[in-house]
Parts: sequence; C-alpha cells; structure tokens
Amino acid sequence: MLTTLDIQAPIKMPTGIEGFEHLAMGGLPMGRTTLLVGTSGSGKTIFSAEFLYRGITQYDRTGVFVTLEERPIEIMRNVKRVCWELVELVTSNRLAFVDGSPDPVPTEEVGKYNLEGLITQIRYAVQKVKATLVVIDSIGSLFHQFSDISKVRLEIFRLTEVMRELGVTTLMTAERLDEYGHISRHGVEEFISDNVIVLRNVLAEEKCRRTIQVLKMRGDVHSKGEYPFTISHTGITILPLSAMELTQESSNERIGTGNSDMDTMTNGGIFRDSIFLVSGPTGGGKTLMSAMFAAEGCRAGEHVLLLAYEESREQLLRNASSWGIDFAKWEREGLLRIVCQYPEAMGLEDHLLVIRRAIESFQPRRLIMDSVSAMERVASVRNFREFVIGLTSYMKQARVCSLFTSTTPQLSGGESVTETHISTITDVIVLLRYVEINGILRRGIAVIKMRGSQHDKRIREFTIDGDGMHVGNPFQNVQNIMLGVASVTPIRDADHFDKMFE
Amino acid sequence: MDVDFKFTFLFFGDSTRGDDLKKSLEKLIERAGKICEVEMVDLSIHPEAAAQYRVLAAPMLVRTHPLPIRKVIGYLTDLEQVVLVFGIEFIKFID
Repeated sequence: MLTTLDIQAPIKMPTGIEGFEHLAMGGLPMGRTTLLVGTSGSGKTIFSAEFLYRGITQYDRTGVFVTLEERPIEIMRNVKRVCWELVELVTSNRLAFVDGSPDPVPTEEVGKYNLEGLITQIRYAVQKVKATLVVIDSIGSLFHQFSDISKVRLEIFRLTEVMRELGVTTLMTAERLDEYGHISRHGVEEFISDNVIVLRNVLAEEKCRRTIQVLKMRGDVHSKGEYPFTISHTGITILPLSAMELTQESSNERIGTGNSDMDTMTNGGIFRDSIFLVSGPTGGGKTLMSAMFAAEGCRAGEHVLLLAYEESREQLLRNASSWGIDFAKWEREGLLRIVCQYPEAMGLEDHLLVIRRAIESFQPRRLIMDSVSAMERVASVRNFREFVIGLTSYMKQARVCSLFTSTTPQLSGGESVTETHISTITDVIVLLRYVEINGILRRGIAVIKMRGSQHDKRIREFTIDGDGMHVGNPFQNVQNIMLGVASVTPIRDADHFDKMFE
Repeated sequence: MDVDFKFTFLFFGDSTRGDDLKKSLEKLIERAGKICEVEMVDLSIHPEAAAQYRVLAAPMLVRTHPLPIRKVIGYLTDLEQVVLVFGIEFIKFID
C-alpha cells in the first residue's frame, strides 16, 4: 500500500564520514536499508563501524551493531586500531551489540526453522538503547551458517521490513567475489534494497587503490563514478574529484615570487591564490626558483611548506645555502617546514592525505611541491590526474599559493607528461630550458601563461650564481628554444611566437 | 532422584507444536528408563533469552545436561537425527 511517504524522495541522514555526504547527496536514506557490498578487505566493517561511531558521537544518536561474522570483541579490537573506542559506547548504553557470529556449540538442523531468533534479538537491542542506526555485518555469514538458502533469503528480506517498521536507518553489508562483476555473492541485492554502495580494493600499478561508488540510490541524481578513499587513524576519507566546486573567489592580491626580475615578467608578482608551475629539465633552475619563492615567504614571516619528493633535506639545505638562502634558520624559527617522502612509499590517495594533514596543522601561506613529476612516475595516468585535481582543489580552498615543479624529459625542451595533465589547472606556467648556442649551454626562461594578467611574452636568458637567479635580455634571432633544439637563425623570433602558444 | 537429561526448548508464540515436542521427547527418554526435564522458553515473552542461548534460528532445542551442550534447530520432524545428536543411542524405534 503506497503512502505519501513512499512517493517522496527519502530524507538523507548524514554519516559524518568525510566526503560521503557530497558523494551521496546528503548521506544515507533515513529509515531505509542501504546495502554496502565489497570484496574481502575492502573496508566494509570499518565503514559500518564509522557510520555508527560518528552517528553516536557526532550526531547524538544510538545504534546497534549486529555482527554475523566476527565476534563483538574482535570488532571492537579491530576498530580500536583506527582509534575508536567502542567499549565506552557500550557501557554508556549508546551502542548495543547483537552477536550472531557462528556458534562454537555444534548445531544440527533437524527440521524447518526461520530466523525469528535473530530478528527478535535485533528488535530487543534496538528497543533497549532506543537506536536509530543499525549495522548488519555481513549477511553472507547467514548463508554459511544455515543450509536453507531460500529461507535465509526470505528472512533477510523480512528483516529489512522489520527494520523499516522500527524506523531505523540500516546499513547492511554483503560480500562479493569480484571487483567488477555481480553485485553480491548470494543474489540478495535484487530485493533487499534500492540503495547500493560498492567498495573496491583494486591492485593497480602495484598499489592498492580503494574506491567507493554509489551504485544506486532511490529517488536521487547522485554522482555515478568511483571515488578514491583512504583509511587512516581518523577513519575513512573520501577524496574530492572534479565534482568538487570551487566556491571561493579569486584573489587580486599579488605576492612576490622571490625574484624581482620574475616579478617584473609577471607584471607585479603572482596572485595570492594561484598555482604556479615551473617546468624544466633537471638542473635547469627549478630548485632555485622554489628556494627563492620559499625565501620570499619566510622573509615576510609567512609559513612555508616544502614537500620534497626527490631530494633529501640535507641536499635541499645545501642547495639553498649555495645561493645564500638559509633554510635551517627558518626551520628553527618555525616558518619553514620540510616534508621529505619517497613517492613509492604509499599510494597517491595516502600522499594526498598526508599533504592535507600537513597543511591543516602548519597552515602555510605558501607551498612548494618538488616535484609533481615524481608522483606521476608511481601511478597510472588516471590516478595521477585525480591526484592533481584533488590536490589543486584543496590548495585553492585552503588559499595556499602553491609552486609545483615539473621535470621535462629532455634537457633541451619537449613537453613533459605532467604538463599535459595539469596545464589547464595551473594559473601560471614558467618554462626553463637549456639553450645551445655556438657550443655554449645557456639558459632560457619564459612565462607561458598567466591567468588574469599581462605578462612578458619574450623568452629571456637567465644566469645562476652565488646570489641566485638573474634574468637578462631576451634571446635574439634564436628559434625553437622552447619546442626543440635551439638554433640560431637570421629570422626574427617574433615570427615564431605563435608556435609557442599552440 | 537425579535427572539424566535436561533440555531447554526455545520457541515463539504458538506452543502447540512445542507441547507435542515436549511430549515426544519425554516419551523417548522414558522408554530408555531415563528421567528428563524440559524447560519451555517462549521467546516472544522472554526475548532476552535469545541472546543468552545465541538463538538465531528458531525453534531451538538445547541439551544443557549432560555436558557438552548440544543444539538442534527446526521443528523435530526427524527424531532419529535428534536421538543421534543428543546421544540417546539406546532408544530403538520399534513402530
């Protein structure tokens, strides 16, 4: 019998799980059952536990955890590793466990039965703590414990009806065998729920990549894709992708790059909230530009965060001091923080989380990532692009002026793969190149792009000495500096400017 | 006089089938010259007992004495099986 409630779109209940509300348009459907499926180890139990934990501690609700596979003590032990204390919730009567795990006492089936015992235990627990949230983890275990498969299926369905009558919001987990195959193992999804979330744990490029997808959700237009997430000591973090909207306005305030010549080339410095890409071959001057950028910030008393993925802290300090920049001093003063990491150390989603944590705790106004190419080498193309989008979205939101360095594959020029992916996202692009002229290697610099401002369009020569970078005059009569091997010709370089901006 | 077998029968609501079971079980054990006690627990009146005995499927018959504890689930259509599980081996079905 249809009531008006059935026709309206269900109200959503926020879970408190980071990033989930955005993905699921507000949260889980209130008063309904949502099916959470995933292969073994994909994070179903952690997700369910976090749903209860946050619901209880952040939203002042009470809940019941029906555990059908593991014993309650094992669940509590597992989530303790993620730093949640469930015992306290149990003793304060905000969380009740129903132990439906396999009985150690041998039990034989001798006749017809139903699962009224389980249903009664759940109902009793819900009423005891006045629960509004229920987790059932995982229904596959019922198929292992009882041989009457069709009866079990029927009873699971009846269970969802009972949960609905009780008015609770239920999260039911189910196991699957393939990451991209049937929805669940036992074919229950067809009649259990209109709301299905899939967790995946895929091995890609030798790294484990966790994703979450809202497969279907009744009554809603929701994000359809897979979103990467990580599990850390704060729980699950779902990472934003291009769906994330940038709501802040662009800043018109300009800040110094650290080099007055560069400031002139950019018509007064770069904007406060921009993303600044410096691309060049190894040894081309990127590290120097980063150091100058950092120095400018520290001199102004700003916090600067340097993420180093290619060199050690000692090397960075040594390089900087060779140009007269004292990183050690600013570190002591708490203005500069250097974070060194091996790109191979973890997956990109985890790197992103580490970076976000560093930004949240240190509150930098400037950030340097040396280099973004290092990350590209350890991930798939798609993964890398998602990482960059997630990172730059976050930078913009946090209003951090960021400098990314990117290493080009050839000494003389050519486009780096990184640039292909992030050139549309960055606001300022500076190219550094070696130029071979008459048997001498010289250096060229050009501002290729600067959103929202005029800039010097000429390719200029620059030098590096003990005092840093000095930008000089534009190259005359030299072509292909940026695009290939430079050659001197009598043709005016003005005629070739179009090529540069293709 | 010592009791040889103690059972607890956990069921829901309508106890007519339960009473039949109780009678059959008692008869079986009497034939062997043994004495038994059957405790009837209606889970619709005492839901807390379900957790205590770990009742997921109902009805459930538990042998609490002698140890070790053994359980069967389902209405006892297969009494031979029941007999085997509970170790009342010496009962012979003549009729």
